[in-house]
Amino acid sequence: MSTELTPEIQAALAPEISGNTVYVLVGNPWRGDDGAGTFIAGRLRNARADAFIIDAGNRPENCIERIISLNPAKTVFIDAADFGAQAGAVRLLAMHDVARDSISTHAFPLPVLARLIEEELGSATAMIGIQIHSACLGQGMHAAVVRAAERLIDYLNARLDAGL
Amino acid sequence: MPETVKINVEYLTRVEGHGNIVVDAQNGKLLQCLLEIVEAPRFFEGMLRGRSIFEAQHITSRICGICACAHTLVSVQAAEDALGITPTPQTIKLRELLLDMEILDSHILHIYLLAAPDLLGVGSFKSLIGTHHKTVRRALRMKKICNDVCDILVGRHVHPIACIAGGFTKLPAEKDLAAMQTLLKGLQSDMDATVDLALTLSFPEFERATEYVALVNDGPDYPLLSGDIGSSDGPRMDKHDYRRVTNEFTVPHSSAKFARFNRESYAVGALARLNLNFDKLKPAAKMTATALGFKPPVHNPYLNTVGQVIESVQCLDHATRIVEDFLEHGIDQAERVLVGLNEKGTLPVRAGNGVGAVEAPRGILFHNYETDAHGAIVKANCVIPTAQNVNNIEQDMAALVPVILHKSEAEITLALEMLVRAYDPCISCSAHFLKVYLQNQ
Repeated sequence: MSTELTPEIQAALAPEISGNTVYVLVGNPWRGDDGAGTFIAGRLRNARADAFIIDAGNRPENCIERIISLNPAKTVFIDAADFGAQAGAVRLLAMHDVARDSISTHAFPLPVLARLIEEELGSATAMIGIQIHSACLGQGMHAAVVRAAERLIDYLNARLDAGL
Repeated sequence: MPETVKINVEYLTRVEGHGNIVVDAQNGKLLQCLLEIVEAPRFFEGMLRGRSIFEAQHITSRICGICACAHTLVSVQAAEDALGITPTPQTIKLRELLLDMEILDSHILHIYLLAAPDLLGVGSFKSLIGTHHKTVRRALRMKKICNDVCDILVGRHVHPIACIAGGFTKLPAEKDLAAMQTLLKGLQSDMDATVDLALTLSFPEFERATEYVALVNDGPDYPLLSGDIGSSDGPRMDKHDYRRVTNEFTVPHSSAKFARFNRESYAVGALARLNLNFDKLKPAAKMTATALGFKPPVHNPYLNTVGQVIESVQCLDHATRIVEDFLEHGIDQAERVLVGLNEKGTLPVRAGNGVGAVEAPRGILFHNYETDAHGAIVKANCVIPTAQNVNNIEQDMAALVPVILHKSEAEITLALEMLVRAYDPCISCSAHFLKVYLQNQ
């Protein structure tokens, strides 16, 4: 298992050169590794005027107006995911690979939210997934998932601090 | 139509939970028409046994992620009934506000995200984003405001914290009320646009007279939080007699119990509430009903969605008035209660048997707890709106299929899916995908 960030992932995470970049961190800290997004959001240092961090918790759909108001050239969703890899693996997910895209009154899937942003703004979206070990209630995050989150934090902080 | 038809729709999207529709018709004669609920039972009543009645609302709010507040409210009502606690008028008003916001939230999501794709003829929610992304944004704005008001009121909308037996652990300060007022005012233009959208929608024509069951009371307001059990077919009954109304029974094809009262089935939800309590609507809601051509009694189940639009106007109006009233007269912060598990004996405890009856978004919801002298739950029963509706949906399907058998497989399937969706079923609370097996020979 590797938490290495591939060039593809690094490119997806990198702030846009021309235009705003919005990072939407998704997660429920009560549900073990599902808290990875919120874990990352709380540790990012953003010095850039054209980058924005949104801790969307477990209701990313409630952030849509905020995201659109920022008129991002790129929106990056970071969320825990289960794509059958070893815990802590980090992957750039294709939106159509995200299984849950059916909607109900109880759940608003991220691919649908991404589609809404693309339709509204015509801008790019990306989704970074961190492979979970467990998302059961009342558990802390698995060490491998913490390491993966820290890797993402280090990479993003370097880019957001340096303004590169 | 073809002599033999088999349709297997792997996913009936835009409902909550898993279920199957099985229809078997031969030579134009309906042989079988089932709504199979295939989700595993969840055993919440078993989880409650031995737990303190003061934590029941936190456990039972987990029954549902969208009706968490309704489950909380009915739970505290049942607990207070068992303990002999009478809530203060201020507590009742705040609970009404909470319920208004939850019903509004749930209805808006159903109207826009689940029902609208069919009614606008776009086929799927994904397509709706392509053709109506401004409309989808409106729905999400409205949802967020409802969530924000609930957050202010009870800490969070999903699985609320502050609403407990005996009152509220946190009461809104004046700035909180002002914030809620601003949020609700911000909702009005989107509500107007929602009614305008509803005016453009057309619904399938199908009627089947059934029994409608909802809360009724003698007060002037549209009853959502408390009352007796009313029926379109019979005298009103005390909530403690709920078992005589629900008459739950099991069928082999469903893990959800079925219910029946005076007829073979009954319906709960927006249509039932409006058929029983239309006169108690606020003027704005009545005007909306008139504009939408809704005149009770309404026997077309597809119009449940129209009923939800009317109730959304009602809930926004009612919630706004509550907040304005609190802003004018203030909140008595001395009513704040901290109970926890009642370790300090803040509230008197006794052995008892309490019933709660509250209108959740999808219909009347019952919780019943029997407690021992220490306030531990020895027996619990929760009767969920969708479980009460499943039998009625099946009866509707059985009445609808013969009328539309001349149509194509795709048209029959869509009509059945829309019928099920019109009830806004929460199958998880009683089932994720709905397969449709249509055998027509």
